Amino acid sequence: MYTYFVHTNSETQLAEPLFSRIKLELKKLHIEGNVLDFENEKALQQKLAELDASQTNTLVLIGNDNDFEIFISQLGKMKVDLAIGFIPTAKTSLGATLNTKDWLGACEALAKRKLKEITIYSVGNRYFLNKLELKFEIKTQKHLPIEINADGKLLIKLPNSSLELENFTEDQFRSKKPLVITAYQAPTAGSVKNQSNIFGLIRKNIGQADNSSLEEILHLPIRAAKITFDGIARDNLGRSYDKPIIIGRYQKPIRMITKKEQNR
Amino acid sequence: MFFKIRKNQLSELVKLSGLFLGPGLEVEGEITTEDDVFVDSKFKGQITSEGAVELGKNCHFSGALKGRTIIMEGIIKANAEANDSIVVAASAEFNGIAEAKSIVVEKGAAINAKLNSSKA
Repeated sequence: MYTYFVHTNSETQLAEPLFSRIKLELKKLHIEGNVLDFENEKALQQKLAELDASQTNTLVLIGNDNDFEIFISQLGKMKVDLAIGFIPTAKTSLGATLNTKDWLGACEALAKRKLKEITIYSVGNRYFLNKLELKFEIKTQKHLPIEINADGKLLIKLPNSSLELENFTEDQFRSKKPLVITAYQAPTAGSVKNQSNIFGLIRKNIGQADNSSLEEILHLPIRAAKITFDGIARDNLGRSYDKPIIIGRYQKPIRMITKKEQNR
Repeated sequence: MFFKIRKNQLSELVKLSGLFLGPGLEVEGEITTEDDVFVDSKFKGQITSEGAVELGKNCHFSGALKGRTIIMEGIIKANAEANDSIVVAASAEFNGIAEAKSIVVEKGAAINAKLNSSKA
């Protein structure tokens, strides 16, 4: 039995004609099920808590990448081990990862139900799948207001920066590699530029970034990290963090429905 | 707005660049990696890499270095050991011990070190 979730405050609103077509397709494929709406994380948390795990074996999010990140952030807290599916309503990077680039392909994949294990990451008591962006509103004007303690070995003092954490492995399902933490900073007048010959060559080879006003200053694979700062941090879903942020891999992978075969 | 870089560019960057610590950072600790390492920051501690270790012109390094090849361009105080080669570039100031199959000291480099190179 499948249960479907729709984020009603999604940036890409699910238009009724498209929703009707999706529901029709699901019915055709004999995988129709309950549709539960949620307007925010709290509502989703409530819906998941009320879910009768004996009545469903698959939870499916209909929406975009951000909606799925919200979905996963609450899903990580669930004790039961249910299969997870995704129906994209826009062009999504998750859809590309799962090889289900459009809603129709995703519905077919759901019906075939090929499962793969996928790694998710925790940030505090929340979770993310692909990417977490953090921006800091620093209270003081200290030169180095952010400290990252990565893997318990490295203490990195950062100038005021924004951070991005992303799983870069080519095949996310075989992900044993750590996250990559990347820091960006707006260069100040007279600041020292990166003068690494090799890195300069790489930049030349891959071309300019979309926004060259920010400079990459840290690029580091991590398994776990503690980020300490004096102020407030906000992520790409608008959530704020006012305590040290603990980042790591979630204790167990989730099982996702995809078109691709499980890699061995 | 967050800085956006095209996904394929960034993947390529990761593949090519390995680990990168840029100017403005202060780092203390230990790095052990299979990938190449580029350090252009202040660093105190130990770096062990199966690939290349490059210490850029802005790098102030103090500690121990191990790598396949080591390139020094900044101010380095270290015990450096490379499987293949160590290059002390013209811009470098190197204090310490260097051990590798081949050691190259470019003209202009400031060096106060014990060098030990042996043929394979």
